[in-house]
Amino acid sequence: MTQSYVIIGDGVAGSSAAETLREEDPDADVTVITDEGEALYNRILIKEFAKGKLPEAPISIHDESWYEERDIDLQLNTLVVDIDVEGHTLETHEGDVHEWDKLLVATGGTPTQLPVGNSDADGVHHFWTFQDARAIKNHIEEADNSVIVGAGLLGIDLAAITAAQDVEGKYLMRGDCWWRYALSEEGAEIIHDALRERDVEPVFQSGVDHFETDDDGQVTTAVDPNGDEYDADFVGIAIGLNFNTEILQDTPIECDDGIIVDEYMQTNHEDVFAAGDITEFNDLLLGERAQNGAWGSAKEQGSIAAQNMVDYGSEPFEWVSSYSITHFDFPFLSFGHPTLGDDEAEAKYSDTEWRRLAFKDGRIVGGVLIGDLSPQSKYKKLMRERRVVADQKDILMKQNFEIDELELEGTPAE
Amino acid sequence: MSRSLQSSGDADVRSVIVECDAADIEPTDRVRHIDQLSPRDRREVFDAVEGSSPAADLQGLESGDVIRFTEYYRVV
Repeated sequence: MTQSYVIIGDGVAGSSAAETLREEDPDADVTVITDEGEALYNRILIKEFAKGKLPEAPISIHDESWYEERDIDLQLNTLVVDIDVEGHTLETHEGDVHEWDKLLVATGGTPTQLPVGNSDADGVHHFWTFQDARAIKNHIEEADNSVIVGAGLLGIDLAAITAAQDVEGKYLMRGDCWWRYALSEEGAEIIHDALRERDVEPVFQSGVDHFETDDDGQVTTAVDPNGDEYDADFVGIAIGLNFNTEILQDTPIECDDGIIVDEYMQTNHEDVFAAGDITEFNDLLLGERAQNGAWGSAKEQGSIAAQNMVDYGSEPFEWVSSYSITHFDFPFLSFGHPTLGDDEAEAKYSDTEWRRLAFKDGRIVGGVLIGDLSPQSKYKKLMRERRVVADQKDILMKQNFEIDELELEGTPAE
Repeated sequence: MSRSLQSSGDADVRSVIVECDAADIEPTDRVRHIDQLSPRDRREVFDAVEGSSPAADLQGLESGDVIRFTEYYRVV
């Protein structure tokens, strides 16, 4: 019997799943439904487009012919409004009903709105989709000064866009440093200096109380909780994502912040799977549930989900994710879960070289490398093998450490 | 630190990675971020950019492809 697979979402997780399903089950019906108006594009590189560095065309990864060639039914601009899990159907906003044997939910997230006055004013931008990037590019090219809110991995993209477009900026942060959950002040200072060199000034112990606007509703000023005012005709906000689980609210599918899946990307219903940053997956390396929004992780999850939709239990998701910041002339890499763990070690080697590892139960679960990425493979290997090494921090933090220097007990985990 | 990479002395390596100007990227060019490469290709690019030789043995990239890392780099 021909199997029918429906995928909701055409980001890298959904697209990767569609490609794998076609490979694993050549005769199956495969449908991809997305509310976006364009097929898979390069979400990592839309910041380069907004900076004015890249033309629009290379951002596209798949055009519609890619799906046609693989006999995948792609439905753009189509919103799923209801899922009947027991009936194995879903309904779109146009009233079309699709039957499915296996369903994959890869609907990702939506930027969290800043709950302050006038946060919906003209000139206030969130940054997630290609459409967002187009709007940001059009506006920032005409802007005089900017305010950025959100001291994390997406916020720094907005700060870099401001810098690349030669718009003076203030980067308002609630704490004492950028990405304070993963970096110490000493490590973050390397990033702060790089921002200052590009006319983006970090402002600590700040944030936004409200925005002020002109008579046309255009943002003019950000006022922080201290009462300090910052002129801004461009505002960029990146304070996190809300995951798009609403469609599952009236179904038996278990959700928390995201959709809960096992290491095979299966939900608590045997015919419903999820992939991408929307999942709270059983992270075998971390030993607890986790989420991850990195491109490589989402792509792998899509492929793993597809393999298990065809043959459940065939392949678990076991992945050390990487996230690079490429805005500066020095490399920056975070891997695994650098904001988690119960122990840590860090070292600074120069004004542009710093490292931090996060441990849980003695094992490396994540880290951040600034300036020198050469030890990353060794740290990731120790993480994958689940080696207990936190008692040897002095060796791990040596600038040119080698795994051979460690006293490793037992055999590596498979 | 990133730097310009001009040539390879390794005769048995398929590709060389050279820094390029973003303004020279054509609409038809295939551009990938470093995080989109396979772990193996990522290591090759890291080594070529940060190491002593710009040579790289890349499996998922072709001549003409562009990589976004600390700068833009082209595979030649």
